[in-house]
Amino acid sequence: MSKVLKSIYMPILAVVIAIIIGSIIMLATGFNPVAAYSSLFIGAFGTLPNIANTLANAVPLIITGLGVAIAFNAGLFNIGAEGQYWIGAIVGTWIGYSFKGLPWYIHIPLALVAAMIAGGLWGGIIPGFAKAYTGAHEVITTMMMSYVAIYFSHYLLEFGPMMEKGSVPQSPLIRDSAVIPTIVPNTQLSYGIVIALVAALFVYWLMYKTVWGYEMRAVGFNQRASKYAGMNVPFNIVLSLSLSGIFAGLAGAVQILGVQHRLYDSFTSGYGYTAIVVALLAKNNPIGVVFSALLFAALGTGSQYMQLNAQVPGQLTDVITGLIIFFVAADKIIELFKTMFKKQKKEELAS
Amino acid sequence: MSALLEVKNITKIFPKVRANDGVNLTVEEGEIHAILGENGAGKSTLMNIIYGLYKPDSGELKLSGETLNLSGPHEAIEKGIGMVHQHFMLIPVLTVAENIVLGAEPGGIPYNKKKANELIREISKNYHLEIDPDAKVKDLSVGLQQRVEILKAFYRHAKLLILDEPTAMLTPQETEELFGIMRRLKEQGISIIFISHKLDEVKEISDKVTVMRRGKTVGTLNTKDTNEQELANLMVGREVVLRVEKSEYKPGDVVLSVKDLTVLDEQNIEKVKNVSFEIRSGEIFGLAGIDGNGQTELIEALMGLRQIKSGIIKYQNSDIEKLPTRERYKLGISYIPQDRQQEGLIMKFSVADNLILKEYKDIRYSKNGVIQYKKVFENASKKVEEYDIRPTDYTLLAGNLSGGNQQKIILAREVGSNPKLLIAVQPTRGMDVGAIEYIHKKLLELRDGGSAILLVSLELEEIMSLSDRIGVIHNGVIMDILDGKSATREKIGLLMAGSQIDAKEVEV
Amino acid sequence: MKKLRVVLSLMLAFVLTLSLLSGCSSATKQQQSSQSNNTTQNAKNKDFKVGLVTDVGGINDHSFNQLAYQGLEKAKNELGVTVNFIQSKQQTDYITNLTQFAQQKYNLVIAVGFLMKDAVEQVSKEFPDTKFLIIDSDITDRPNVASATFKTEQCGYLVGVMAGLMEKEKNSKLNDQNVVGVVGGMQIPPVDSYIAGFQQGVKAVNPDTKVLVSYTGNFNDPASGKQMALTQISQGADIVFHVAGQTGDGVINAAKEKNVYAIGVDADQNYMAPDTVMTSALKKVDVATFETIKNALNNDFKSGLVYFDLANDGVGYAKPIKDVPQSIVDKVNEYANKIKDGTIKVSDQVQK
Repeated sequence: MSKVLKSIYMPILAVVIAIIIGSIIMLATGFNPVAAYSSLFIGAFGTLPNIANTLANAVPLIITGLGVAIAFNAGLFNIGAEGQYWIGAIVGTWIGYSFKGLPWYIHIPLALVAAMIAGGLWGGIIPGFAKAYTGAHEVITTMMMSYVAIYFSHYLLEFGPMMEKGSVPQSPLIRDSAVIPTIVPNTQLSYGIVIALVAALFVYWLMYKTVWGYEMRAVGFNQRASKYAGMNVPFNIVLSLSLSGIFAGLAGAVQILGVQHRLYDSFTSGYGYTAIVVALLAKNNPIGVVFSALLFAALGTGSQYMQLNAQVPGQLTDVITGLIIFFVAADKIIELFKTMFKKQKKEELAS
Repeated sequence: MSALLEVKNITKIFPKVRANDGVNLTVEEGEIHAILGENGAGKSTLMNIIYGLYKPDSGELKLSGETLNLSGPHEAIEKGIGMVHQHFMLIPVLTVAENIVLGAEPGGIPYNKKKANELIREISKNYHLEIDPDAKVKDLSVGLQQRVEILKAFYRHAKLLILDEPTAMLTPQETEELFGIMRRLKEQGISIIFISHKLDEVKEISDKVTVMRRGKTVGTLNTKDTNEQELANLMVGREVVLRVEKSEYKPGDVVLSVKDLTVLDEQNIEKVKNVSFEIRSGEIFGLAGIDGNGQTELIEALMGLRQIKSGIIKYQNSDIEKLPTRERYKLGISYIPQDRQQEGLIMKFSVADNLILKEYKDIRYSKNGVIQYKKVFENASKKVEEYDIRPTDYTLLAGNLSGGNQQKIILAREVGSNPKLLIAVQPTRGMDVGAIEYIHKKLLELRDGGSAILLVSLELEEIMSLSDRIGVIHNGVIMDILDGKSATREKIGLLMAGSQIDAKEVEV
Repeated sequence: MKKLRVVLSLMLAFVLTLSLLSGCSSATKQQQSSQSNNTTQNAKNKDFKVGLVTDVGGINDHSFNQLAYQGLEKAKNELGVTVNFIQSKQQTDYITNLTQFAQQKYNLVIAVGFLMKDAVEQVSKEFPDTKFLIIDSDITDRPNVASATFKTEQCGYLVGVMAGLMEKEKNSKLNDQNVVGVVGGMQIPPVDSYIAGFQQGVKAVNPDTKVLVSYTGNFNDPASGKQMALTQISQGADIVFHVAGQTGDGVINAAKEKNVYAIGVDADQNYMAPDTVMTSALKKVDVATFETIKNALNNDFKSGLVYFDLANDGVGYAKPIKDVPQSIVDKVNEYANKIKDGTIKVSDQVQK
């Protein structure tokens, strides 16, 4: 138990410090932090629909965050989860609207699995092989592939084959048989949340209880020692990037099937990037990813409510998000604070 | 003689550790003063305090009677304190002269090469440290590079020279040369602090020796009034067995047979050339040689970590040169790699996870791809106890353990699997007396149990005390294979340096 | 560790104290302002609540969202209604935000932008008692949804007339090649209606003028807009009209650099380059917002497509800079009147 506490202590501290600095900023700009944070909280968790919307927002963050965390666990930085998400969304949408007459229990899994394969190919096979056998850095390749995916979606939707006949660049609606049903009426919370939670448990089990996870983590921490222990390092690089892409792709499809029901033309969903922060804050622990995704989702839904009821600009939550990222990434700074305080204390004792 | 450096009651506390705890040390002028202690005893902390890298939490530092309050190494250098670190701080692509004057160039910005060379010639003449100022540092041997470091100190007018484990990287001959230099410097009135954990060297070169243990100085002795046993006991804090007690040599069948093995490095240069040797069960085969003479490539080839160019590797009468690394492990080969932190362990894995690093796919530890953590923990608690790994909590990360205990994890994994062949590369590197004693005992147990052991070490002492037969490698060629009992230090030293003819003469 | 905890709790206490203080002060401020409103405004109007949901552009987008917000502010000041707004951060916020207002019994909820069509369709079904206005869309099958549609071909026509007439003028920014250019964003109907009007306007007064038309394929890449504008300028265009959102920023930049005229779109973009942007074709989202609020307040809410054109001041052109002679402005106003009275019909189909 104390071990769990110890491992979540730094992220929580980062969040707390970010919130405190956020309040100082609010005070400095003339807002009331208590009112702001309480409306933020009510907006995120105050009513059943609000809770549902927060959970709904967390779904793509959880699943994409899992993908990013798998890569991080293997020592790889999948910065292109955004693109894999798009590819998953594109494939999910296409299967969602173009197959007629399938029962839901075939249509939905078909769309999800196809999106996972596409995401895996996009994120894993191509950058994975490039990394494992030519040394091309995955940060570059996944990012480039990400742009390709996003521009590909522009092509498809802007007068391309997936554009709905009409005035606006967007795809047709997916068929009812492909829609993941909503749990709480009048909210966006679909059974996608179940998929997300099962995915988190699965990834936890995979990474910490199986030989594949053992190998991927070993390769992530120390490629040299893994090679010396007889592991196939290139294979594990491809495997972990593929898994990473599979989950990002799944996230895209779940979002289409559960929430959006069609693909909109847009430059970014943002999930792929927020997922990096989600994974970082969770210290790449799959269970931690669920909670960290919930936090960012709550900041998202809560901030809308906060604008409405406390008149605090929604950008404030962006500031808090930024601060959290800063303190998580810079946990060395917090360590520094700690030693500074310790030193002071000692000097006080000495004097 | 009067005191040059006085260290009084220095204490330095790091989070969780009292690295120096009331340390006292007095170094006289013109004295070689050895600091002896196990790893983590606080030697390096103390030196870094003297050199101005750390500020002590309490205590006093005096140089020639004047209290020092150093703000950094630059001030220590100004006061005449020079330090040669274990890892040299040289820039390989620059010349000797450029390295020496770097940061204190004669003439300032427009670098005056002629004057620099002149100055350096003068200093090297004064201190009998011959060197070519125009040579590139990357072309120099380790011994000569060390000389450059020493010259660097004297260029900055050092009166006190700190040598941090200076012999760790040297051949026996180079060590002798270094000792010669140290003696001459002493005659010229230079004081030297010599840090080491090698008892024989301390005994040979120092005038006085201060022993440190767990951050404290436990005593300062006149070297001539003490002996290695006493020093070792002081260092470890208990009775230590220094002599390796070896049972009779009873070789069995050939376990490993290497024939005409040739291996290339990354630049396609032949690093191992037509090497042939055999190792039998119940035998420790020592491979002696200076670092970088093909040992790494040879071992990697034996382990399947590197492709071979030609030759045969036979293990228990079957060819294994095409097998991947894991298959070789499965055949009963164990391997203690040279760099335990980079090659032997996953520092961010728990002790328990590290103990199955090679066998996690084995039926004992996993079923259908799922690791059976109950079995893994059973194994861990058994090994932790058997190999005295401390702390005993096997869920701790390997990186949180001390170097000696990290090595014990590897030992438990590699020796504990009862291999038919163990390849051990520098198994005691950087270990202290107590740990070395333990590791040697384990290796001998394995040998007596009928295993074959290939021991690669840069420590001649270790090779000679453990090996039944000794192969000496130089420039990728096995120069000779000697009988462990009759081999002498000089003969091995000469072979290591590549001089076969001389070696033969000595034999005669 | 203990120390750290102490410091953190001190910081927290400090923040709390300050916030309580500031909370008091801001509360009093609100009261004061509402009191002053109360004294001057009809209390019934104050009970009428209007919520605005921006799309991901936010209220500072110098475009629809900002204009809608201006209309909302105008309604607050002139009609005394209670207003509030939420800026959406991502597309999945639309439904949440619209629902938020509807749940809190807002009388009218305004959704800015066609991207919210699906969201409005869904939420309006769930809250049949709430009225919705969606800007730039075409929802027709809901009794509680109004879709504001702008006849932008009309204002495109007027700036086209102005450009055509300017080609006959002579000054340092104009060459004698008689070429004008249009840079469009995506080739979609809302863009093409502007362009179609512009083409017809130019031809009406200056049949020999060549109108170059090209599309960048996006709305958010000023670099590509600039590139395209520079190409047109090199082909002789000395007036460039953009219908390309942020991409248009690059168009205006290029015009400024090459010392030719630009024509802005949607809002008055003269502030971006005062000597360069000679006028702008206006799509008066602020007017549409304000009018709809007023009508709803007066129980005169019309559902389905609501057209905004020159006749009801829903589109127009921005006050031209002084380089444009009064004679030309008069001529443009003449054409405006002809469109208003139906003498001229403007097509929204682009001439290829």
